[in-house]
Amino acid sequence: MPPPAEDEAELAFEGVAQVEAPPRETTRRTLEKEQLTTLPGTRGDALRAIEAMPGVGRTQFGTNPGPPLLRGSPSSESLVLLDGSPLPLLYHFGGLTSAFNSHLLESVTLYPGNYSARYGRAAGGVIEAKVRDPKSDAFHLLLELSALDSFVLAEGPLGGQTSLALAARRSNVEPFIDAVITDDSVAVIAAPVYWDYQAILAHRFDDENKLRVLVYGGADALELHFGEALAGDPALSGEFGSSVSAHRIQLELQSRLSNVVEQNLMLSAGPSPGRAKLGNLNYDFASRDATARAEWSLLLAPWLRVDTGIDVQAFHAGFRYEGPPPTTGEGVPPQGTFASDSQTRVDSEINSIRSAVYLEASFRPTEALLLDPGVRLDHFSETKTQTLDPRLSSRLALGPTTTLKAGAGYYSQPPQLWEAMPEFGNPAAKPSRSLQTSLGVEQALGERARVDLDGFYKHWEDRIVDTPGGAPPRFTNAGTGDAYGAEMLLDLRVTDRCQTYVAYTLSRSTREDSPGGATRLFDDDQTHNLSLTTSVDLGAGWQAGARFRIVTGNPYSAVQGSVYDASNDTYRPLYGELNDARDPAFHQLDMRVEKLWEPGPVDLTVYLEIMNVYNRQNPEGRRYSFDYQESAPVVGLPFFPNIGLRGEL
Amino acid sequence: MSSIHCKARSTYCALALPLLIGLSGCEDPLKNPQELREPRVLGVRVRTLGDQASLEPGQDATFDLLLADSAGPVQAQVAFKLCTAASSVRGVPYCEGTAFAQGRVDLAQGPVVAQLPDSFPSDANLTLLGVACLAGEPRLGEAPLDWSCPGREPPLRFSFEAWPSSAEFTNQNPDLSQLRVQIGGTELPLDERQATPSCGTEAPEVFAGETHAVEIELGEAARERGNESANEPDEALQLSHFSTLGLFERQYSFVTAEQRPRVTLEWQAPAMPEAVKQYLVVRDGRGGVTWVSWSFCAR
Repeated sequence: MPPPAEDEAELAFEGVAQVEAPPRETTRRTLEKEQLTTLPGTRGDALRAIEAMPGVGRTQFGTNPGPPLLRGSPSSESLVLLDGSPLPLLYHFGGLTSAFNSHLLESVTLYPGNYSARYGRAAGGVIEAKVRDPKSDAFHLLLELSALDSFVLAEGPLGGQTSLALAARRSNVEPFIDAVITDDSVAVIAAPVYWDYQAILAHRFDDENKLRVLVYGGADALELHFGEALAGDPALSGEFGSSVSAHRIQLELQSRLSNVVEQNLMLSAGPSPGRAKLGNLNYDFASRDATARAEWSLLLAPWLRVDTGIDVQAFHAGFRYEGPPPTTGEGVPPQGTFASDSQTRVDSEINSIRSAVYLEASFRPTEALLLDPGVRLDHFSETKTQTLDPRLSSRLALGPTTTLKAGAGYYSQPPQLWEAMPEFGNPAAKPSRSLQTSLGVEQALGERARVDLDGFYKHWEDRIVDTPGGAPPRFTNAGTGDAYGAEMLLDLRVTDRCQTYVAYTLSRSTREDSPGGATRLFDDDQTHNLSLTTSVDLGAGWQAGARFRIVTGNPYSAVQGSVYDASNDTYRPLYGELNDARDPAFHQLDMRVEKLWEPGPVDLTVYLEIMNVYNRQNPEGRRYSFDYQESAPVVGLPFFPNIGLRGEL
Repeated sequence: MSSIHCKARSTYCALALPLLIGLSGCEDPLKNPQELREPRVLGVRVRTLGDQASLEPGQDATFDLLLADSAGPVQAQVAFKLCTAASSVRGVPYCEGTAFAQGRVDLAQGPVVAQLPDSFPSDANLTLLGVACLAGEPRLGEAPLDWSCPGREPPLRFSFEAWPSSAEFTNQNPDLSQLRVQIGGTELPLDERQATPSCGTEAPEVFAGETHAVEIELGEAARERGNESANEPDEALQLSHFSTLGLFERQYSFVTAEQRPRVTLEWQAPAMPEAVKQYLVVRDGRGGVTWVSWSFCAR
């Protein structure tokens, strides 16, 4: 595992001043463990808590199980890492809750752009979750029951320098499914279930060497049977189901080789099988992934530290796919029914090795100035291409309360595997690349407030786009794009018992899908995104919080007509310009209140979290009549209370 | 996790929410496709000699269109072009190169007839693109949004993919000569496609305001048998149901290769006495299409 950035920074600067060292990245926003499970509106979920930060786009409810949207980038350009290794299963049930127990995390750090050369393969940003060590002072037991799910966490010392944590969680939503599905022609073959588990073993050999073994995984499953085809699409009948799971074992060895050199080794490996059936989409998938990292940090002088390392990902998968040919998923509005989609059948294997070396220096030529140049060389076996990405970030302290910061760099991302496969796409596809720049200031406003302002500009080149109609070669590197905006984070502590975040992002993200082509809005372009989050410790074990969000509605392509497909009795929509309309603004108020009792050895907490307090009917898309002449909004999460009980020994 | 896995899950999840909302028992505000409220194209079929649906070079191909609205049959003018479609996988098909037949036809005068070129590959995507207008001359521009009717009349745009014959493949349109239809136990004779429904003395009757079982016996002639020596299955059929009044319980029925060619579904009759015309369009999934209609009085 690479060392935590702040730890490294502390190491580098502790001889200079016994204060928390500044981050090296231009924009870094960290939520500590106390905040991860208590922020209102996040259902106690660490990845959802990140959405309270500026630079993070709102994810539409129920539609995007991928990583968060960062600075005008699609979800596919964000990387979510768990101690340096990509997290294989992010969310349960399309985003309901994240699949790694947030109570086992030390912190989650958001790099919305201009991230370090230690990471790559993502043209957007990085979210880095850090696992905490199991508690070693005594045996602890945590049991939580809520309407959504229940989990148990046990941890404690195993003797000597070893400690262990074990956790398991399972959903509680099966009893509600019969109430939700009232259509007699639909049979529930397998009720929706999710579960996950985590085990962490930490052992300190001596003061210089520490081993951590992390075993984790999870699964989601749902299966229904439609007795009849859905209106408007003869292909949507029969089985409707999905199961996905992932399991990993991760070994991390941190060693101090000398007073100058630190070494961090990490190996993560495991399978990720899955299958889905919906209409004529049918796939089975079994992959095995491995990620290995080796990093060395050299403290060459009080003013110079060098980090270098190797970062390798290997991937093998066998899969069978029948269904509509995949798309990039962006800039391609829905094209009609499953029945009218052409079909692709592929039974194949994929092998890929992605390797990288990187070098980064933290150079402080003066007390006030920190320069952090880096370079990363990536090789992608599946496209037989290399990329070289130089990056630079810098921070200049103008005084004890003001810091200027700036960053610039290139970020390369290989094509998604299917985009470069001969069966699905274009073997000649090459990595896309973004140039990211940012400029900002951090300003302390007295002792109880801090404001962080950032402006950013991002330009994409060689962006992979779908060819018109999906005609061969289906994907090309003909796209470009731009995103720019400003972010503000106000961290306000009016009293020691009250913390408020005001996060605001103003941005615009556009795309061109061909050289000289028309400029259009990015699918998830959100001009304004304001989030107000406040938590108050009311005393006597009472804690309350609220979050209010208001976000510009997402663009969509308005249907202007349709064509009857007489071959199978369906309709295909006709669009004008891409993303020429917008959904109404999204706004939602969430509240959370909890009460802690500490009567003895067991701490008891009862909490109530209400999502969408005033039951706003937020449009999250639209459904059309069979001929696209009528439409109705698909609304997001309704008023949703979740009550929970937590006991902690 | 694999990116393909993510992609497929995205597709799945993008549909999952609307599907589950649709199942939640909430009343759907969108109109039903099996209900004929306004003029629509209900089917397109192609036939050559002997009602063959697969096409051979140099033949004259006849394309029939079935149009109807809430009162029954409608007439229209059609602008069309017949061409080889480009190899796209999404969206409305478009011609690759010049159309080998195009023109304008008044369906009251006859169907669309086109002469096929002297040669085309056996895997060609032969596509008929067109637009029908009930009043005025249709215009078939380059882009589908430019397939239009004069004034404010909504254009009835359509596409139809015809299958070429080859040494290994020929196909007939479904033969519905053995078809029998009963509604609420009353056997209904088929009528002429252009016949307007009425509640005259000759009209069969069913009870208004009630839900009736509709039994459709297609007969074995409706589907072609598979070549047993080549281990080919029999044809599977997709049935589309339409009614000028009342409401079928669903739009589609299916007859798989293993099933007897018989379908039963419910139809909710209108509350008030009305003349009703119903259409059945049968597709074999290989370019073959046939339709029939029947009329009766819901009294």
